[in-house]
Amino acid sequence: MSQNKRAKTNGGLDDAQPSTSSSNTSQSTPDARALARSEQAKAQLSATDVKKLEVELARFLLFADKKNIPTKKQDIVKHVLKEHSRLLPSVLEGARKYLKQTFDYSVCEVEYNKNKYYILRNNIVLPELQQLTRPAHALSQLALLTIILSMIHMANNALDEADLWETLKILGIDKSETHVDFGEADKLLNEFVKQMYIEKHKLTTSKGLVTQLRWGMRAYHEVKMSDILLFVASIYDVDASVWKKQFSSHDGAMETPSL
Amino acid sequence: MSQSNGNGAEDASSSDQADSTDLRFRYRKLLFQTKEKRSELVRPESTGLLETLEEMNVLFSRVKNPREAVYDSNVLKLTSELGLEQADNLQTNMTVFDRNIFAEKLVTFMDGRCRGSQREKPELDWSKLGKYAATMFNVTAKLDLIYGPLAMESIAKHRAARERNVQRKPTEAEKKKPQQLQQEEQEESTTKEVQRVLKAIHKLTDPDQGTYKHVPFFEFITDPTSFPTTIENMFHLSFLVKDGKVKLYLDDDNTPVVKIDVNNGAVTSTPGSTRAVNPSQVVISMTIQKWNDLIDEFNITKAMIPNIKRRGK
Repeated sequence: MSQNKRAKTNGGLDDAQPSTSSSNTSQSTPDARALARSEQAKAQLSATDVKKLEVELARFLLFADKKNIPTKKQDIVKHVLKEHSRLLPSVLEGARKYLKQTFDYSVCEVEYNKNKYYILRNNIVLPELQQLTRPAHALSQLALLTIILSMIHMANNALDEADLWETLKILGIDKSETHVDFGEADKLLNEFVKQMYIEKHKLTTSKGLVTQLRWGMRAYHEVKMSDILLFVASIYDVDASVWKKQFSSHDGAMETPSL
Repeated sequence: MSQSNGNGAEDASSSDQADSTDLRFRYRKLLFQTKEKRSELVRPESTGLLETLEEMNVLFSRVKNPREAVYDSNVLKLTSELGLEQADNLQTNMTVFDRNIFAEKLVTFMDGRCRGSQREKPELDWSKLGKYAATMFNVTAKLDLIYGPLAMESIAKHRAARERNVQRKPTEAEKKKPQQLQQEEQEESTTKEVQRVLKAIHKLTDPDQGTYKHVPFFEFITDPTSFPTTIENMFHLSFLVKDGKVKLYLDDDNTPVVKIDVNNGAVTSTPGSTRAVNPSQVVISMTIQKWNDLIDEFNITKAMIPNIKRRGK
């Protein structure tokens, strides 16, 4: 089922596939064993205690989501579970259920640089609502993000950072200057990386040492590649089918050239 | 027997050896050249890679040992990587996606002027694009507390600011407390203090551990660090004398001394009575002057009655 075979610089992707639901973690044996162990440990605590932990974890994930920065697994153990660290798999399952039943949010596990993170994903798709719930300054940031993601997508998920800045100059964004709406654009780009919308990879290509930009895991969860393509097509005033490669590969695997 | 690795170097004649050396040399040269010409080879119109492949084919037909085959595979690997790069550079789309044109069209979309000179920065309505973009994204609603969180450690940024606030607040909170608790404290403390004084006397006059047979009165009560405490010590001691637990009398040198009273103050012991039977009263005056004199006279450096400061200010 792993359609997303990405280059080895990215680490393995366990369950963070954009199109499939990510509510079952116990696909591989080590996870199943961890779940079994935590079920055992769970039996030692009273039901109310376990429920309390689940609720706390659900709240923790909700509040941590506020900044849009993914939650580290270690932070969960440190702040919520404390000494009951072994209970993580089963408590997480409980928290998952709460979030799913109350908000229809899925908890997606994402692996990056050998660390495990969790993000919340909204399963209810209401574009009209999305338009309304954003504050003004967030809209312009979102616009910039969309442009960057579009360019990365049209570059087959491998855009040189230098090329990005060159193009942004036309839009009035200079890397070295402070922008009226965005402030320091470089910082904003790093903010996007932190929120896992974009990934930065340092590679050696025929052009030397470059920083390559790719889609981040959160981008895959929150926006569809086909939508981005349609967006590009509408701006370019061209039919989307013209770009065959991108057209046929959305929602599927994008092979990054291994250099 | 030992010739099991293919053609092995065992029975290689000198010509075979020379051949393989030559092969390796050629492969290495090919590898080096391909690396050098890398940027040139990946240009779409270049056919250099094809030529490399052809040369590889020629060389490979001469390969006998695994060692040379490894060289061959190295070159092949590099060639295929470059081929992939070249394919990427090939523009097979009829309509090429040009980033810069894309950017200019975006400017138009956002109601910006098309720039004449390079210096002018376009004034763009980013929120227009933002609204359009928002329909594509599916985000979770971000929670916010109206009055702010009560206790949230996960926001490290606020910790620094909160620490400063936290330090200011307790002083106000503490001020409120003494008003409520003072009464209770006053009632209990006297009893406790009296007990403490008694304990001190016990300790000092203990036949095993203690240093005194009877404790000299003035040295006992005086606290060189605090005048009020000295007064309090006297006060507590008076309770003990009243209850007959300690005896206050003049010793051989006519200095007042304090001692545990075994009979509980009864000259003729009456069972069940806790009061001294023959009470006699003494009035002792103490002023700050006298207190200082006492300290000097008896060289008192440390209070004999251990006291715990409860008056935190």
